[in-house]
Amino acid sequence: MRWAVQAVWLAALNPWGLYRVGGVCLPVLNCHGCPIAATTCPIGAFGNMLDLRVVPFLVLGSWGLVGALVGRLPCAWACPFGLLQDLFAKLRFIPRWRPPRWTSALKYAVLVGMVLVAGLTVGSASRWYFCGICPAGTGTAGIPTWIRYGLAVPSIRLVFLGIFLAMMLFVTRGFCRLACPIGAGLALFNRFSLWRLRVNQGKCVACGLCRKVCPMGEDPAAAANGEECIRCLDCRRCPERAIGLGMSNVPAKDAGGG
Amino acid sequence: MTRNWQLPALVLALLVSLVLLGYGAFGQRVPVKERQASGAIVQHDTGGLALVDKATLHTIATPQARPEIQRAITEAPAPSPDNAPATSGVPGCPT
Repeated sequence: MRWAVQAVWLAALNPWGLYRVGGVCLPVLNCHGCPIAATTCPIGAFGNMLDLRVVPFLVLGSWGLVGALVGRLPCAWACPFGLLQDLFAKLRFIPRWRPPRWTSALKYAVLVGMVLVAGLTVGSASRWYFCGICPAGTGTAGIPTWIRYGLAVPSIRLVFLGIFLAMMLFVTRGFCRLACPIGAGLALFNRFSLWRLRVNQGKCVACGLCRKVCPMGEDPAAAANGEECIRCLDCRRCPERAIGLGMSNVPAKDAGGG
Repeated sequence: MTRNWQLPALVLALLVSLVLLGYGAFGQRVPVKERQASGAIVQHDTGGLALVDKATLHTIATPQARPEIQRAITEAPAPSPDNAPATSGVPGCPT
């Protein structure tokens, strides 16, 4: 089910010039420098508007609205880069490393340092702004433009593309966990968003299956809706049906059916 | 159970986001900014900027924006070898 939704979003966000959606800035990593993209990347638009000394109301508003409604759910269901990482995770012969929890804080440092501070000080054209190392920008816009128009891609971007690809290979959802500033922004809403995980502790038998299948390394039964939860709902494989998705003000007793 | 702070936080976040989104989409004016090199930088209808040139015009611009983009291209300075790679350093440009 999730694969199908991700595929639909991938096609909808990149319609090969069939349409562009004006006024829409979705909080997913899909570079608007890519000629086939239909919407605007919030990180790119944020920096562009700061360059113009304009407060990016549109970006902040759309980011906040999606976060308040569903938290990090777009990371699992809509982000094309998330889909790529899920495909990498299917390569079962590659050993996976589970990074320590503190490394999750790196993405907040990226959000503050390479988006907010860099955007306000050196501008989005700087190599210090996130777009300068963004793997989606390099992979879906920089390299195609290089091939088609001969515009060279700076080597530092290729180096970071390699680093991020390696990160994704050896850490499941590694980019989401460690580096994605969009996910970091959405994560701030996870604990109080309208739609979120509901766990019925009365049904939970602490079998640990939900922790085992969670791509983000979370333990949904112990701490549902933590900052890392992307609402992929893989934890709903729970044999006791103790985990579900529901609205924030609904009591948890029906979680299994949600 | 929903904790006491979560519902007010949710309501506040929704209200603030809707106000920001509404103003950003319908009330805010963003100046068009032109740039050097082989193309021109013009405002996206979303507020972001795009690198455009005659080759990619049809793929990244809405029909309504095309006259404005075309004008920006024709008024942009000619590319020079000093700029190579032509789009390096342009805001929002992935190359």
